[in-house]
Amino acid sequence: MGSSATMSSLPRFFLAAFAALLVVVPAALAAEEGEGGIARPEYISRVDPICSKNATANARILKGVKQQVQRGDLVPAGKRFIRASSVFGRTTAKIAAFPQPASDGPKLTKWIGYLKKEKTFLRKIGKLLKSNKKNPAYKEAVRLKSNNSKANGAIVGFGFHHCSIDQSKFL
Amino acid sequence: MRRTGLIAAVLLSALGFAATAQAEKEIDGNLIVSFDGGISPHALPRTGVAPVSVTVDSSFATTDESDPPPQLRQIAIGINKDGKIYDRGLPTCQVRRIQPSTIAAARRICGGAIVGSGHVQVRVALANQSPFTFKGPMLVFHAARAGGHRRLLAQVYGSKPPSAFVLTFKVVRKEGTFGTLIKTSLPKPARQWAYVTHFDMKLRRVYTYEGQKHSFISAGCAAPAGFPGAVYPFARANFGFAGGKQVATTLVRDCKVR
Repeated sequence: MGSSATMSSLPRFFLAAFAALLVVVPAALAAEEGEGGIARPEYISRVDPICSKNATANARILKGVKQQVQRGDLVPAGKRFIRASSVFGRTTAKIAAFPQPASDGPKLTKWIGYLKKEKTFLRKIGKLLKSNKKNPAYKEAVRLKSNNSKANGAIVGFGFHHCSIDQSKFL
Repeated sequence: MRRTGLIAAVLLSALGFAATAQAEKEIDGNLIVSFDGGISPHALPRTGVAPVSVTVDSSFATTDESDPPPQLRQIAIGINKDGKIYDRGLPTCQVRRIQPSTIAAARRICGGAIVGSGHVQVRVALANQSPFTFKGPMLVFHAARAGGHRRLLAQVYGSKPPSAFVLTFKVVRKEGTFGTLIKTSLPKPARQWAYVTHFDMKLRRVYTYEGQKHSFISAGCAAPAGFPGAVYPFARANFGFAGGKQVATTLVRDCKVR
């Protein structure tokens, strides 16, 4: 991207999105319906490994995308975001379909709501990058960052190990 | 001109998107840790650096309102490496000069070395007494290096009951994203009674040395060319509690190119 910034500068604007994908997206959820609901530890034990596994999967999708943005290859970078967004959307839908502990329903519904927004932000960022619209892409990245914090806040104290979004790993 | 250590920092907090910045919260067992902070101003140069203020704000509570709460013993705050600390020509202060003293007295004695301020809240649990809360303002002074590391002295004074103490923060440079680590430990005597429930600190100092203006902390907004800003990891805090429990949390912030 021919940055005039310092050598250490990175195209950080999009990395919040990148981080979100790496951490949150689950790949395949074998949702097993419990008649009387499901306990929180069981819910976590089922969802957490999926988050972890999918972090790896999405790392593959987005590998090298930050360098692309840095070089100014925005169209291919945007396509990757869109593809990642699709994966994110599908897996979020699977999480949403997973039976939730009755007592945690409102919080998890809120969390899933943020994950759905995440998908939308990622897609928007991808489309904006494809269109070379840097300013709007940055604004969406900032909104995504805020959404990430809210998503983490929604599940604070649950005991997830892999479903929180640690953007700093990838910025 | 000697450039001293790198500190963290592209941050924002004032305008526009600043409203979206929010504290991070972690819950571990019955312990709730909140961590907030940022850099001001929000708009910074894409290349080079500008004077900034860096703020960190932490609170510690429990889900079951246990009193006293778990004892905070170590604070280590790593700040993003994309920033600079410059302290050449900045006066220094010594603990013996400001301990014990009131805030006003400390300001009078070591005013030239002030690089920040803040507040501390401590739950005090003494034998044969009901626990009570101590609140006090804090001044942060630049101190002479020790062991090759910069140091900051955080002087706290409370009037109810009248008491003062000084925490020494070591500023350590390290590899990685959070290249400047500011850390301190609760002094051993205080472990008998002090349970920190809140502290906040704002570092900012602009001074003149050899006819030129310098800022104790400076930062830029390292956005890629053409982009109006950047999202970046601002700080990572590690809090160590009695019993060995460690809680870590990270803040991500954004900046705008001015």
